[in-house]
Amino acid sequence: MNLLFQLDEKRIEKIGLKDQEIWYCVPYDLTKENRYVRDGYVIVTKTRLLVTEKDRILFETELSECREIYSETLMHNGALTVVKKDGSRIRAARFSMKHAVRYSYVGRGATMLAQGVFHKVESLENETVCPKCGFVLPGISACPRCNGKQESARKIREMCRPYVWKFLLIGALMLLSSGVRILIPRVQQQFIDGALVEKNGIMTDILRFAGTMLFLTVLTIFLTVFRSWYSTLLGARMSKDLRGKLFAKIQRLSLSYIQEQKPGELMNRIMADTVQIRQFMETVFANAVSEFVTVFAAAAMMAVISWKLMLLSLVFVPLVIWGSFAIRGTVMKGFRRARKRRDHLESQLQDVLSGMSVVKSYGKEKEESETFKHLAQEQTMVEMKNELYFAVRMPVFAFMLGLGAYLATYFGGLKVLGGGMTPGVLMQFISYTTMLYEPFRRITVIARQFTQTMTSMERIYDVLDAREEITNARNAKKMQIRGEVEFRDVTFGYRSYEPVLNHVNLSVKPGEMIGLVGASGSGKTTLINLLMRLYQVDDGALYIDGVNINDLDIENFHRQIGVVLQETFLFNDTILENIRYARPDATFQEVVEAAKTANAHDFICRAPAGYETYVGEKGYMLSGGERQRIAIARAVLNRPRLLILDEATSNLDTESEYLVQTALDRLRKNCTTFAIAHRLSTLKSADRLVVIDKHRIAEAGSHEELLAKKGIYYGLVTAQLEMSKTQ
Amino acid sequence: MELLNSSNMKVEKTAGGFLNVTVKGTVYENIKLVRTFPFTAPNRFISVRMSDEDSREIGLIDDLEKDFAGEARACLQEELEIRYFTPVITKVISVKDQAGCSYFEVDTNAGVCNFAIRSNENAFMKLSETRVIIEDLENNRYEIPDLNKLTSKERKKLDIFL
Repeated sequence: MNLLFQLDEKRIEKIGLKDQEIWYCVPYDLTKENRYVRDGYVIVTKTRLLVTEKDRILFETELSECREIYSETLMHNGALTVVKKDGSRIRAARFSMKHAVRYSYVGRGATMLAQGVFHKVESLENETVCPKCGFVLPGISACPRCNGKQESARKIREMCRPYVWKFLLIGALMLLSSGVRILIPRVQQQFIDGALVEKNGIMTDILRFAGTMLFLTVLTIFLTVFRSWYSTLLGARMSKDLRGKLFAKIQRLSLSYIQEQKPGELMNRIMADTVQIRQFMETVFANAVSEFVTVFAAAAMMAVISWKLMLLSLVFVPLVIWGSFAIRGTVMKGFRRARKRRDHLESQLQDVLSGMSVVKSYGKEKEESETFKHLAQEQTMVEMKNELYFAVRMPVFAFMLGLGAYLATYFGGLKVLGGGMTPGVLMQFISYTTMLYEPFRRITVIARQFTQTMTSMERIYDVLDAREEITNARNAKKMQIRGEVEFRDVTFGYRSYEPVLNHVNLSVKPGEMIGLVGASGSGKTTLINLLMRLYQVDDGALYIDGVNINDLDIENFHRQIGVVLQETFLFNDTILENIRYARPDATFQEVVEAAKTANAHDFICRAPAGYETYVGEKGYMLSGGERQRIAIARAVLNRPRLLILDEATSNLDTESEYLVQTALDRLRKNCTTFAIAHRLSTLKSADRLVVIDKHRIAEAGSHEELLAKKGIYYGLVTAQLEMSKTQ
Repeated sequence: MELLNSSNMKVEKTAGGFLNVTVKGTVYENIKLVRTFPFTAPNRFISVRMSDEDSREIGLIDDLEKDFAGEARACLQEELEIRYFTPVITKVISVKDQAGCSYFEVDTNAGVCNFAIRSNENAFMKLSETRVIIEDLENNRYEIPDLNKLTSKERKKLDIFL
């Protein structure tokens, strides 16, 4: 997202900012009087914030006088609000939601400048609408319209490059089959003129003609089959390859990139967008392209025979093309209206069915039936209207296309009678006219398919071209870690304008167990995410055994971490495969030992298929405690040096908790452990407790030390005691 | 329920465009106003809330028009207008369809503006047979208070969304 719009030199000079570095420059579009305004910008330099309209300054302030600058969220609009050091507040600029996200970044950036932190805030988020042309961007970072054809051409080239030879082969097949189709009328012409009209033909002529026709027809069929087959194959291949590439790329992308996408969005790109490309190859490329090759060839042949007749027979084609595009809008509208009504009907049905008990208990059956009947009626009307529209239009178009052939027949017939043309040539000509029509009738479908495919391609390449944030450093270290961890002045936010952890300092000795305590949303899980290197620290650094975490080989490092989370994710596979997910080469003995350590062996033995029992989708056949113990077994097998427990026992009943807890205690030996728990009793065995409050480390020390301090931890402990008493 | 009116709440506008109110001797700075029935009764049951993170309620205004007058009412009204900025569409200039999105150019009481919606989503919310709220792709809201006040040509352009 652009936070630095370019203003022209003249204006900058008039505002008096010549030769000053502009840090942020973003447009606003509302006045205090609730009117839209164009050409208004908020400009932030290193020391000042200005609100300008054209070349006038409406408001300005020294950043040194400000305590905070933030984007105030109003309903369906927002304001950039400046808080001065004396506490006074000013709504400096107002904007519609178009710019809301931009301003939250700028507010953060300007506040940082006011506090003397000269760090440029950047936004990874995509624009929803192209700021230049207003085109809605389908979840991609650059506007395909403004970026020009070159970018799209590059993507097409890149996408097709690995398959050049296949494309050439298909191209050759297309030319060949078109050629044969063009040849057939020519053969007919020779037969008619040479053998029939002159009536000097003999039996063998007829046989030869029939033989040639049979051969050519069979050849066309074969060529068409091969062509479609190869196109389909190529489409499937391209789509499969793109899927593979996308999947690999998504795995390499950072979690922050993935989380900034809408849910389901990436899934869509891997599944739907690649299918779109396959479909395009199957339907449009395989048939339409070759049909158009045929059209041009046929038109060329017609022109050779008689260009006047050709023009006559093509007279109606532009009309039909124009007509199909003209009704396209209405057709689409009709479809959309029908879909809307259907959605309406469906949601009503869904609503009533899922709320049946409410409907019944309030005796509202009759009213609901009426509403439903009414909606169903509406939907039927719309569908009927659509069908009628089609039923009338389509034959008319077909007829209009046919008109050209009638004209050609008439004038061509006159020519034959006048001796200017042989009957065979006329037959040949008429055959060509029929070849022209099919592709033109489908031109709107092709146009739509083409735009959809281009959009899909843009979306695919947007992921493929995305920058990978977390990559191995050039000389990434592979090393056996001991488990010493140090956070040195670490600051991090999932969005750079919203820090979740502020200046965290913490050093942990190998084998130590740290309990993380604090309200939800305070940053405990974030701390752990950083430790797992799922995200990159914004400021400060994180050291493992004295080595900056960014210099470690990611895969090698991850292999030495064990993780047990509140919601254990088990793959839809056997218990065995789930346990040895991290180390597929583990022996049966190792697996059984790990399961025993995790208190899982006994319940696995009770299952009918032992270790080869399928856990079912997301592990629903197992109880929470059992799943947790499988996750522990998975971690044990990995022999981790660093163990991370995020609410590992919070969803369990007392007995399961006991089993899981003893398993965890066994696993913890030789491990540096970070454990998050709401139930403070589960952190009894922690060497040190760290209380995180308001995005900082508020307290740290042993249980007794923190109790004696009577701070936040003391409050939490007494609150939980109270709770358990009342229960 | 703590009901507020001109006798128990003083309203004052700050230079920076915020409202401070005084209730029972306590001054609350930069208060927030929330319409509890934003569509059907925009001036009734307005919740007056503090500016802190929890935005606790100070009290409710039953009826802004009855319970406040003069300067105070104007200030409250103005803050509501800013907070609930919803341009009223007076003219539909054009609607264009492109690649699954619909692009609108409309004239509103706040000036001419362009916006886009996804064609398949339900961006149009019908409050009644004639009153419509439109929410665009970027969560801006627009209102058409009376469809019948538009020309039939304009209504036709909107037809498929309704």
